[in-house]
Amino acid sequence: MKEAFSMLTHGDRITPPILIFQDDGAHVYESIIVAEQSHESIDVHQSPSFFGYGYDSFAQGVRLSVKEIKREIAFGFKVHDTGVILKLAPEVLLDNDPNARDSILKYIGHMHPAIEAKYLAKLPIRELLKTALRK
Amino acid sequence: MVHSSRLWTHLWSDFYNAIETVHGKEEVNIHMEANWTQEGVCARRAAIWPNRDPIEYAGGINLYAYVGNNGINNVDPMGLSFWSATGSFVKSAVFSLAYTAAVGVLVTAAGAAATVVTPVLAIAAAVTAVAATAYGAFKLGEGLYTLATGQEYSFDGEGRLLTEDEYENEAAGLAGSLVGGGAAAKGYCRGPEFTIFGKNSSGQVQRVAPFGNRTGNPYGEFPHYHRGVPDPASPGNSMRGQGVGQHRPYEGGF
Repeated sequence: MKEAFSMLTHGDRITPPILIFQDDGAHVYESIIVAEQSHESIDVHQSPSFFGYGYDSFAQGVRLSVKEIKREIAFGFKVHDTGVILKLAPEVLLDNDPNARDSILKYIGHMHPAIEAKYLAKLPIRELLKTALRK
Repeated sequence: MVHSSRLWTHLWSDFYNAIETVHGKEEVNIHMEANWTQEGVCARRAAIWPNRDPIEYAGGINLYAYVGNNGINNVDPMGLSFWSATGSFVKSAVFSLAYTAAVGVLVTAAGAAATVVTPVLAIAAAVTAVAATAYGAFKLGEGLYTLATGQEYSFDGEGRLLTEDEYENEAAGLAGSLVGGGAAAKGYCRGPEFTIFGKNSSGQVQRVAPFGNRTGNPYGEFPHYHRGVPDPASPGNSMRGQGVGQHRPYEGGF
């Protein structure tokens, strides 16, 4: 299963970790496969509040999308199914994203409470992203 | 099943005369012959019920129940075939679907228990699931044996020979089992999710995956459901860690 999904991704162009905005805020995934497996196609194409886009560690825009796949179920029988893949999205630009700063600040506040808000407020958006992606 | 009373005699005679007038005697006779010869309790040409059913109302008050309320398209000349074969198919399909689904739930519950609760529960569920699967396989083999030999299965091979109707029921039941079991098995193979209650106040799709799904997510393999918890401070979004992406009850609480 992992191989099937990773073949569908542009793994050599997206550099983990990856931050993705969801309906409950930003989430960071350590790899492309984990990001894909943590989402379901029904969310990606049905739920309008499920943002499904984000940035990799080089601040490149990425977006979750749905892909038709064939999956073997048993004894060589295959079924058509839908899987989630993560693709580069050139139209997603961190510098032009009006929601990114607030969402990333909330994420850092939740995951790294020791970092002072005053310090974070001064950081440019790319530095904020790096901070969020830090373990 | 109720069969006659003086009232019914009149009703049937009037009905028969009316349709004979419209459709002609020969055509009506064909239909009457097909529909009115069940177990010899009614005389087709006379269009009356000659005697009252000995069981009276024990079979219900619906005169068309024996053909599934469809006296035009269904016939039951021996009083056995329609509901016995169809019912056998439906009953077996439903039972097999429920049985296979239950076994699948036990298997996935065993995995879930091993992952998030305790190995003891996992062992208990797994043992039950294995026993249930073995029993299901035995019953399937028994059905196939009966279908192949035309006699009931017994250890000594001296099972009773089935009548034609019983054989038909057995075949219908086996077909129903395969359809029901196959449907459940397909559910586990594909792991579909079903939307429930539409969308919540945040516009998120709420749904349930009774068979788990196959995204590769470690929790998604088990039966689960999704729902978001709307964040009053941020309309349209869920509370932090309570989003629709959580595989409940393993993530994000109940």
